[in-house]
Amino acid sequence: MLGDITLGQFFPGDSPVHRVDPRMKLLLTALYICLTFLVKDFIGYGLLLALLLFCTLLSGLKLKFMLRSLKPILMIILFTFFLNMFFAKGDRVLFAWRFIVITEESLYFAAFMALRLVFLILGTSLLTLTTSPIALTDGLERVLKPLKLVRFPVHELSMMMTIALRFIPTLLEETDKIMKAQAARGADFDTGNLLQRAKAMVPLLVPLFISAFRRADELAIAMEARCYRGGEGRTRMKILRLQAVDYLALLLFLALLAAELLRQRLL
Amino acid sequence: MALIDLSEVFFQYEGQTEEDGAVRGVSFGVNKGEWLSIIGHNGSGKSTLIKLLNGLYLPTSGEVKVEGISSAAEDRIWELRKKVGMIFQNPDNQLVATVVEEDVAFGLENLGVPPLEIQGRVKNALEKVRMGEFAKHAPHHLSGGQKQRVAIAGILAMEPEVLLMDEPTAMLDPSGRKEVLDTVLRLHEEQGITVVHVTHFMEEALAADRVLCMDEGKIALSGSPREVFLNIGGLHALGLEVPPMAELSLRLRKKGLRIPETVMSIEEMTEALCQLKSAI
Amino acid sequence: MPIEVSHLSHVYMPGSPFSASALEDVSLRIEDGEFAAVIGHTGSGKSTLVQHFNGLIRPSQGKVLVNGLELSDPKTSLKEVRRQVGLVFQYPEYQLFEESVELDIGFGPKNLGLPKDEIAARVRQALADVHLPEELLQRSPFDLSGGQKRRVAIGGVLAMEPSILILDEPTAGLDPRGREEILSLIQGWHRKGRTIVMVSHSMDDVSRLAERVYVMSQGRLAMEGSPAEVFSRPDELLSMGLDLPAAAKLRAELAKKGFALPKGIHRMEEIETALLAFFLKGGAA
Repeated sequence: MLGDITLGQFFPGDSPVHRVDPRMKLLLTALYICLTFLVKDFIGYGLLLALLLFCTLLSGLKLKFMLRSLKPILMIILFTFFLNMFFAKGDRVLFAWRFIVITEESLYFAAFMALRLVFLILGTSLLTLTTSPIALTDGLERVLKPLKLVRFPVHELSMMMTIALRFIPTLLEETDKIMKAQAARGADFDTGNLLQRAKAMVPLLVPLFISAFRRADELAIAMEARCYRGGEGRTRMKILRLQAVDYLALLLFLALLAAELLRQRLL
Repeated sequence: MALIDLSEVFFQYEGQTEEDGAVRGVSFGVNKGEWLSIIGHNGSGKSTLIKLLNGLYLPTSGEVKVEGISSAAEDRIWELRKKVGMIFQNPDNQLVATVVEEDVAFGLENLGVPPLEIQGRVKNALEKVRMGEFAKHAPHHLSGGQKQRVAIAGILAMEPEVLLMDEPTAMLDPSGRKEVLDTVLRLHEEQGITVVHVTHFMEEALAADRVLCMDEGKIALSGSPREVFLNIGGLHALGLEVPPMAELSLRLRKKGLRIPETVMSIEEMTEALCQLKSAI
Repeated sequence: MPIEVSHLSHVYMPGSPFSASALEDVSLRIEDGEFAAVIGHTGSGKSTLVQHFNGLIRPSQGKVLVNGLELSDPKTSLKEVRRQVGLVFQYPEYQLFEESVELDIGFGPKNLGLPKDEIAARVRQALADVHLPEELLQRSPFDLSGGQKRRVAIGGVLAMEPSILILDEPTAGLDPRGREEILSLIQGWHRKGRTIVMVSHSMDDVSRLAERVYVMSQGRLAMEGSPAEVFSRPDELLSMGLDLPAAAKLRAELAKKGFALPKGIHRMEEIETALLAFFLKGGAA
C-alpha cells in the first residue's frame, strides 16, 4: 500500500496557521529566512525560537512532527558543525592535536552555523506541514505571476506541479503492482550486489515508464477535450483574498524583524 | 436538424489506406435528447469514431458537424468542444487535479468563467452526480466508479449539449459499472442530456434509444436495441454477444415453446414463461 | 498437493493510522486439479487472499500450506513456492518489458536458473499453450494487439510450469471475443490437470467454469460450495453486493412468481433443459 504515503508532509488542520493565505505564507517564509540570516547572536535565535514555538503551538502540530523533519538532514547539520569547528579560525585554543585545532571562537561559530540550518529547516517545515501541496502550488503560481513579464513559464510550471502531485500516488500504486507481478515470475529485487540490483530494476522501470507515457498521452487528450489551451484567458475557481489573520501574521513577523534590527543597532 | 451530423466520414491512421482505415465511409446523425450506443468488438473502429465527434481526430475525408460547426474549422474548435464533452475509459488518466472540486472546475477555468460562477456550477455538477460530499477529497482515494462520476461532473459543469462516453465502464467492477450507468441514465431522463456511448457490454446498450453496430470501420447494424439485439444471426456473424434471454428464447422456440420473439430481458422472459405456464 | 489455509488473518499497515483488516480468520482447502473461483465485492479481501498462495504476502497470523510447503515458515524458499504457484495479475500486459516475446516469456524460467535450451523449450511450449504462433517470438510485445499482449503475459507465467495457476480477473477490459478466447484457454489448462484459482467479477463465467466457489465478504470467507449451492442463495449474494448468473437470476424471478424450477440451476443449458422438461413432458418439475 505504497499509495497511502502522502507526499511531502502536509498535516491537515484548521488552525489559524493553516488558514493563512498560501501567498502570505510564502512571503512570511521568505521574511523568516531573511531573519535567520540577519541574526548575529544566540539572543536572536531565542527570538526565532519563540516565534517558531508560538506558531507550532498555534498550529496544533506536535513538536515531535517538527523535530522529525530534521532527521533526513541530520548528517548535513553534523557535517556543518564539525567542519566549522575544525576549520574556523580563532585565538583561544581549547584543544589541539597535530593539525586539528579547536578554539572557543570556532566552537561558537560551529554551533551558530548548525543552529542556522536547524532554524531554516524548522521554518520551512512549518510551511509544508501546514499548507497542502495544492495550496502551495497555487500560491506559488500567483506569487510568481510577475515573472511572466520576463517570459518565465509560471502557469506551465504550476500545472506540471499539480499533475505531478496528482499522479505520484497513482504511480506509486502501480510500482507496487508491477513489483509484485515480476516477483511472481521469480524476479528478485532485494539481493545481490549493486550492479545486480540495478539490473533487477529493469523489469520494474520499463513497464513503469511505458505506463507513465501512456497516462501522459491519455491525460493530454482528456485535457484537450476539456478545452485546455494553456494559461491564456484561464480563470481560477479559488479566489485568494487576504484576511485579518494574514495581516496579523504579517504584522507579527514585521514587528519581530524590526525588533531584531533595533536590538542589533542598539548593541 | 441533427445535433451532430456525420457525412461520408473516413479516417485513417498513419500507414492505412482508405480500404483498411479505422473508419470507412460512415454517415449518421445524433438527435437532440437521444441516447445513442455504439457497440462493436475491439478494432471495429468504435473508439476512433467517437473521437471524431469532438474534433480530437479530424476526418481524413468527409465532414463532422456539431450544430453546424465543422470539426475541421480550427478557429471554432473550442466552441465545439464546449458543446461536446467527453468521458474516457481510464478513470485515473482524465482527472487533473488533486482535489475533486478543483478537478470539476478545470474545464470551467479553461473557458475563463468568473470564479464565483465556477464555484456555483461545480457545486451543482457534483450534486447532480451525487458526489457533493466528496468535494474536498483526493481523487486517488475514490473507487473507480466514483472517479468516473467526478469526470462526468467535470463535463456537466461545462454545460455541454452532448456527453460522449468512450467505454466508461470497461475498467470498473460490476457495482462501479452500475453506479456510472445509473448516474448517466438519470441525467439523461431528468435533464434530457444527449448521450453517445461506446461500449462492448451488450447489456449496457439495452438502455439506449438507438444502437449502432460497428464492424471493420463501417456501420454493420443499426436500429432500436430490440431490432439490433434480436437480430441474433447478425450479431453472431459480427462476433458480438447476444442477450442471454434472447438466445434462450430462440432455443426454446426451436423446441416448440411459444415464447414471443420480442423477449430480451429477464423480466420479459419471466412474464412469458408464467403466461405459458398458466395456459397449461 | 492441495492449498490449505487455516485461520489466516491479515492486517494492512498494522500500527499506522491507515491500519485496516483485510482478512479475518479465513480457513479453506483447494484440492488438486480443482477449478476454484474466488468471488467477492471490490475490497472484500479476495486479492489479498490469493496473494498469500504464492508467498507475495507472508502469513502474519494463521497458516498457509501449499503443496506441502509451509509459507509462514521463514525458511521456506519463496522461489520454490513461486515455481509451483503461478499468479497472473489483473491487466498482466502491463508487466511486459522485454524487447521480444521470446525474452519476455523466458524471464520467469531464467529467474529459476534453468539452462538455455530448457528455457527455449519452455517458451515455445508456453506460446503454444496460449495459442499464439511461433512467428511472434521475435516480435516486440508492445507491437501486439491487446488480446495478444495479455496472452503473452499469461504465457510468461505458464513458462514457470506451475502446478497451480491463479488468475486475478483474467478477462478484465477485454471485449466478448477476447474474453471467450481467454476463458477457453483456461478451461483447457484445467482439463490437462492444472489446479486453477480464478478471481472473477463475472458470475456467468464462474457459473460456467468453476467446480467450487469461495465467496469473500469484508475479509471473511462468507460462503463456500459448488456453484449450484452458492448460486441457490441469491438473497445472501445480493446483500454482499454480488450478482447472480443470468440463469440463476431467471430461476429466482420465476420462483418469486410461484414458478418453481429445481434448486441449484445456474447454467443456461440447465434452465433450458428444466424448462423443456416442464413444458414438453407435462410439468415434470
